Amino acid sequence: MRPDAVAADRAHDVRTAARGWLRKGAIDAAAVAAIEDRYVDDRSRFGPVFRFLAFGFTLLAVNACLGLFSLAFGVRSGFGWVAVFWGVVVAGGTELLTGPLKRADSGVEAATALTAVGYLSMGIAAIASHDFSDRSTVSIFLAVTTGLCLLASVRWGFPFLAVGATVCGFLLLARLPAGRVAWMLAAALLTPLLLSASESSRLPPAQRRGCRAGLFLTLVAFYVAVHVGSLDGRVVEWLVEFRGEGWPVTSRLRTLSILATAIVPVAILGFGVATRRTSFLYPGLVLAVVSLVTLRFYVHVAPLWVVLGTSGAAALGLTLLLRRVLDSGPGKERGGFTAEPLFEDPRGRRAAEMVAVVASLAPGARSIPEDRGRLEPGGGTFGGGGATGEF
Amino acid sequence: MNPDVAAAVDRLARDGALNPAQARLFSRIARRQLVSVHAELRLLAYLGVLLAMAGVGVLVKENLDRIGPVAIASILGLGALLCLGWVARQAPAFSRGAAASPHLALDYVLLLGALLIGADLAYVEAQFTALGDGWPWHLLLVSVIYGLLAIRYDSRVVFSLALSTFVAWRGVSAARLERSFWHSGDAAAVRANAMVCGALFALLGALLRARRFKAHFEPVAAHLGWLLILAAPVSALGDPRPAATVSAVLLGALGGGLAAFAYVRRRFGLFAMGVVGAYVGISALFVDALSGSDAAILGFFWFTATPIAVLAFLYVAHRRLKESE
Repeated sequence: MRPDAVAADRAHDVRTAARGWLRKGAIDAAAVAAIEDRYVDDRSRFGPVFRFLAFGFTLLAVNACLGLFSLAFGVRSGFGWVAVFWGVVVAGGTELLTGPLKRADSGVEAATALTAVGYLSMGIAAIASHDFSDRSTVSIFLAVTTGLCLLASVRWGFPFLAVGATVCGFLLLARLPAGRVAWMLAAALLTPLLLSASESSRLPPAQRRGCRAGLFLTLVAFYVAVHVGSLDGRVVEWLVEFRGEGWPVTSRLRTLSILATAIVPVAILGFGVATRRTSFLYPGLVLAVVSLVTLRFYVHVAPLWVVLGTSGAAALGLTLLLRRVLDSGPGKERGGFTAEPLFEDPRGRRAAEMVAVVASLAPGARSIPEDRGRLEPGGGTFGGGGATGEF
Repeated sequence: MNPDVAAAVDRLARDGALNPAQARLFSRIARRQLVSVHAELRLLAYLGVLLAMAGVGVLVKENLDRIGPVAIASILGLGALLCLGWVARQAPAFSRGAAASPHLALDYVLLLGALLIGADLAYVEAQFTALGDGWPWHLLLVSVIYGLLAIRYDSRVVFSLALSTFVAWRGVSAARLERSFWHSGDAAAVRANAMVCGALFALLGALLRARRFKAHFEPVAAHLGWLLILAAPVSALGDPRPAATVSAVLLGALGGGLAAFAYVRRRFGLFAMGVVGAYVGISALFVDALSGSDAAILGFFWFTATPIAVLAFLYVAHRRLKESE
């Protein structure tokens, strides 16, 4: 990233923290003013709503402009070169926005960055694969996209580009003869690197966020590679032209996979607790739930509704228990953990929770005209007024 | 861990901008010596509710003949009672305004209790047909119960569920708007219901704010209300003329009006909805009017130039808002 953009990013992080401290009354307005005087952020930034609007409209304009250009100049062939040309133009626009125009968090430069990487990837892949006619088209595309996303995330700092690099990188590795093993090795190598980078003071906050996002996906990729359901269903192999072939699975291999399915989430969660790293708590939690669901599919311990209901009650019970344990400690903390929200901004979380609840638990609509009698109030696939969806 | 904030805290403490107690707390958090798991615990609670309700769904679906209707209804009722009993013990006394939640899981235990009541009522109605031909009214009853629980225990999450259940009673699924509008048997009736519900919700929100009674629920009602009001004409844009034209005009007018109203009142979420609604409505009219050999190039020109105009408007609007702060 440019040095001035790095300085602004670091200052923005400190100013955001200060506003959080002010929101909870830990400091006063005079202290915030002093902090903002010392940590100057010279970027023009939008709030989340304006950013969302600007992103959407920029994406529309940039793509429509390419269509207009193609029609106006009668471009009917050579997609690869046109895409590369457009990608270079839009990348130049991104440089202008993030550089002299000092834009950050405005949505516009994120949209142009995404478009630039997209068109450059498609263009280079089209040229290298002779207009997508080569057998190795997909591999070329994935390799180019991985490299471009990586370069762009280093240059511009957008976390979504780091996500793109990670996803495309693992999809590319899946195409190797031993794709599943490649996933495991790559994840084992990347995890300590990404962990270190996500906490390094040498990287600006935006790049550290990208590394955290990449770390989450890497942990998930490792889990998918060792998961017994993924092994039985040839999930990683299926990603290669949707064929699901691969090496035969021996019983020893399967036993190891079963053990790994059980142990990996616990290990991730345990590491997160031992080192107080929330970047391991989230994936550990989610993957632990997935492992429990997997257990039920392979071992009929009880009827499905008993397993689901008990798991749900256990999760709620665990929440209450952990909160009680943490609150009972001196200063409402134990081992460096606390259930208090500290200085987080609750507005974003609140909105996300409401959307998640309505999307997953709101009842399905009754039919108009009336359709008598079926107990099918729907409610997403999880419940709400009696669900009839599959789990 | 945040090394930039950690370094800043040290510097600010040296410069006297932070006192030692403040510096110690902020430094501990920045250096990961004190970590909040509040969000993780709420996620765990949400997963618990999701799993429990999935279990309820499977219980009802797969055991209708085996366990017996009275047993199932009793299990659901007992579960709801347990949840609500816990909530009643933990919750503070009722207040007209916002009440600080005494427990991070209160919202979710209340949500689970409310959902179990809804599932129980739906099951009882399906099994014993207490309401006869008026069976859809059970959704209204459930919506009212959710609303009362939301008001008593000050839960925006349950309030959003109450509103979406009311809308479901009127034939609109809040979770899957596209299925409601495009896959329903009578799209026009569903759209009309959606717009009326949306207007009711917007009015309800305004009333709550005017009366200072759970005024913090107003954004939930207003956002869902306007989403329904705008989604209805959007769904009609693909219909044959003149319905599509009327819908586009209506969408443009409603969106523009909402954007203007929301901008003046600094309601940015509603402003975004209004801008998108107005843009979609006006663009639909333009696209509908395109014809001839130049249609494609004119279309691309429109979708190149107008977003740029919108972006310029957003920049000006944003700068004016900052200047007025």
